[in-house]
Amino acid sequence: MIEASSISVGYGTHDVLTDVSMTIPSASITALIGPNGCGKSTLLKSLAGLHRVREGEVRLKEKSIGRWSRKSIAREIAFLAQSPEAPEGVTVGQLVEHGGFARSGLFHGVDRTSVLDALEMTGMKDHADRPFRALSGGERQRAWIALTLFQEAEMLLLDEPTSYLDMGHQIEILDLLMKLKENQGIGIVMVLHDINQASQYADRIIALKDGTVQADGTPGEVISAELVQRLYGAQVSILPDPTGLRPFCVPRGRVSGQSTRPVATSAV
Amino acid sequence: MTQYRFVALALGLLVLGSAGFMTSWSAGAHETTFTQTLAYFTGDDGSNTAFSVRQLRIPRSLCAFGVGVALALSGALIQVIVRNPLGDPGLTGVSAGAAFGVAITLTLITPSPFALTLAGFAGGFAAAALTFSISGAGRGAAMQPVRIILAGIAVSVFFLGATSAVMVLARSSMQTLYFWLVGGFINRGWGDVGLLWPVLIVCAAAIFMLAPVLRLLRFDDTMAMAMGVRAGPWRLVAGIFSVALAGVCVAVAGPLSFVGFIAPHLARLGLGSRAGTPPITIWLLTTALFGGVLVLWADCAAKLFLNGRVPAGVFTTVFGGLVFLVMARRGLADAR
Amino acid sequence: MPARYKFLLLFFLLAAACLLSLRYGAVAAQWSDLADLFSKEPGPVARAILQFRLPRVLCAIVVGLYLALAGLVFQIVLRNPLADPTIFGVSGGASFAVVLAMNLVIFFSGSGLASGVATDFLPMGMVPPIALLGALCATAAVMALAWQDGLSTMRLVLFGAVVAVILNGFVMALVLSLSEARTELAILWLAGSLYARDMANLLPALPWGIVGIFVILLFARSLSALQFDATTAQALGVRTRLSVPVLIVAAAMLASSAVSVAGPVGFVGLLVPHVARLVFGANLQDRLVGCALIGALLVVSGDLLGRVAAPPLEVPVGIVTSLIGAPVFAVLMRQEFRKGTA
Repeated sequence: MIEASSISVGYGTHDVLTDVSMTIPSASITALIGPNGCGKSTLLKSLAGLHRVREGEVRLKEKSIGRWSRKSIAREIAFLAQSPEAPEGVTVGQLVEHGGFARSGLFHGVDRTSVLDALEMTGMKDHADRPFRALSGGERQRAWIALTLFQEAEMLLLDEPTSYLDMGHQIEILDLLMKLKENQGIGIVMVLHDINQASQYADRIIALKDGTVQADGTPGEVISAELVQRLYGAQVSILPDPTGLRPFCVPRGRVSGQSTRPVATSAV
Repeated sequence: MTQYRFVALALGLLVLGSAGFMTSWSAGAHETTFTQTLAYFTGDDGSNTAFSVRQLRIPRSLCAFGVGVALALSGALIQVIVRNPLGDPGLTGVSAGAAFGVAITLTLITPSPFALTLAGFAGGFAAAALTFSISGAGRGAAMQPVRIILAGIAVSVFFLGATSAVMVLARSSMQTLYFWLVGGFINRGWGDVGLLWPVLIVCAAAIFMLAPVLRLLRFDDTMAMAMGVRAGPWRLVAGIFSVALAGVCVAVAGPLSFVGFIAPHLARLGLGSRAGTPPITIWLLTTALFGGVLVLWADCAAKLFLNGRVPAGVFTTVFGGLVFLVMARRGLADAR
Repeated sequence: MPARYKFLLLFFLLAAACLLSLRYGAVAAQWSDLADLFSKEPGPVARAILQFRLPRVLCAIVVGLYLALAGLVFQIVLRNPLADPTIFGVSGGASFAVVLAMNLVIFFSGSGLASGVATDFLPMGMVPPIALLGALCATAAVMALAWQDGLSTMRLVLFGAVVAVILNGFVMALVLSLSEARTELAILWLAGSLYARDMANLLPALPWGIVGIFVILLFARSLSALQFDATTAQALGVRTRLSVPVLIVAAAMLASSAVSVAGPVGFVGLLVPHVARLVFGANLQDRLVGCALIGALLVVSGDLLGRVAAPPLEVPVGIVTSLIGAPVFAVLMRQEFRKGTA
């Protein structure tokens, strides 16, 4: 469980997040949405202890995250950056092995079978001995997720795991995360650009703008035409899902600017 | 697979190294045979030949081998820290900075070996800091290989120029000047061995202890931290060892170029990449052996060719530079 | 200030630097000795000045002028603000060719060592063409190595610098095998120096340089158009296939002639065109003249600085220009990085 209590975070003198509070439980999927530069990525990094908070406190298992060592945080929280860079020349299996660092001592042989298990879960077992460079975008993302799984942490934080992937690969990744939540009880927080994906997959959506939380709740509670306009300045119609739980946005046009040209993609 | 290749490679390098040592001990003004040389190893018969083997050739060969090992490790560390296949203490300006520190201390302050080594460290650090700030690395921007090398070249040119100016004003001979511009092992003795090897052993031990951390430093900062390693401070720690190694090498042998660049690459090539990257400890060991053998043979070449007038640094520069061109031409397309 | 006045000012500065250069040096001289130069029967000091310092100052002027113009042309034609003969293989190639030729002459004649004190073992007239040949080969090699769907600024500089380092290694080996004792020979061919340079060194370099300058003036309009990209230049009516190679060869002629006189004097070709642009703005004609003046001024005053730093010792002019030039190179490089072309 990760708790943030009224944290403010900034770069230099500029505040990116002001007075944000939230609690992230395990075995759930939380999606962070909001326009570019609203502080989603910064919030995600702060929750993983990768960014210093200026005011307030992030707590991991009731203890301030600043008092955890880097290694022990890595045992609890796995984090996947937006476009991470792999070392030159590694195979997929070797890449995944690195996730074991936090659990191992200084001198430690790698357990090959559990590497394969992690790859199995992401459907990458057959690719274990392929060079990472030779993978497609979707395969790379799955290899990275296998690395985070090999970390065997309770929480998994992902920064835009579906960006730069085609639709098939996006669905593949999201289904995988869904399975991880259900089968392993992993708590997942991810930044998503696509509000409809967030609605489809998340148990909870947190909407950010200008560094403050605009809305926080289940997709059914949060997503409204009014919110989308407030976040993105885009006009949408909401199609209610038959269950009423996972509403769907259809873009109509932009209202804040001069242009009323329809936006091609949904609410980006 | 990698393990077998490593054993084969290590054996090959040990044989090459032994041959290098024998050549280095036998060749010189007093030619000696293989058996004679071995005899001088245990007993001193008071002859000139015995003196030159025991007091000149053996320490010189140990210096050459040790400097090779140290430079190779230093280069390998730089390549890991800056995530950059073009890393080398010479190319990043560290060696030139160290040379300037040593030269200015030597001519203006004191010839004490410890002072010189410290001056080498200080100069090396100053140059490294300069190179990094010029390249714009560390401001959130990724450290781009080509930028660091280009910044390193500018820093290198400046410090080598300053070194030459100091040497010219100190009326040094051409041998001394060349020594401080390219590096070599002419007249290196037991004193230099005593300076080099302790630093080398300490740093090498530290580097092998750091191996698990080094593995993660090959990722970008955020991912390395997410996996449990505070990347910034550890890069700095590893950098300190790298500069310390380069600094002591310069104090002993002047700014030899390209060894730190080619040894890690030769090791990678030798260990093969079909099974992915070799385990980092095996890679570091092979790199160290390659470096030692390379510089030992460069010094043998310096003794055997061109009347022994040309320092070993010329040979490493020419050989290493050509390898660099081939590698950079092949690899830069995607490495930039 | 109109460009004319700037030229005048630069001219006066250059004249002042030349006078100071004649006045100060290893041999003590007074201003009266300079005045003595024009008398009917000059004194011994004046004669020494006439014999040693005057040729040296003339060499400095010519070397600075050649290198600066070569740098300007390289920078425009290659569209590369970091281009400079020394970090570009041109100087390295020229030095290597000359030193290699010296070695070959001695190897085949066997007796060069005794004869060569001031002549450096080679007939003087042969030096510039040999240097030019070496420079052209090295330039071609660097461009071939750096070529990858065009010539990127950074690749060109990187490969040029490494080729220069390798050639430097060869020069070092050759000089050392030539003679261990002649430090000034080593300084000359590794760092660039005007030590003991006289009219015998200068005269053979003049025709090559004059031809080079003539060609540049002939192609000045094309050069001006080439400040735009190649396509635009073509659209403006420039035959790039002709003018680009011709201009590169002309610049190489200038640079290698300079090297044949004073060795690889570093960074003049890099530095001066940038200063000239700051002073004279975009007009190419003004910049050409400005480059010539500033280049000469830089080398004359660099040489002066090197000589007065600690007489009778002297710091070679190439080291002085490198110490000034390397930081400027670093600053320019940062600007390139910001533009993101690397």
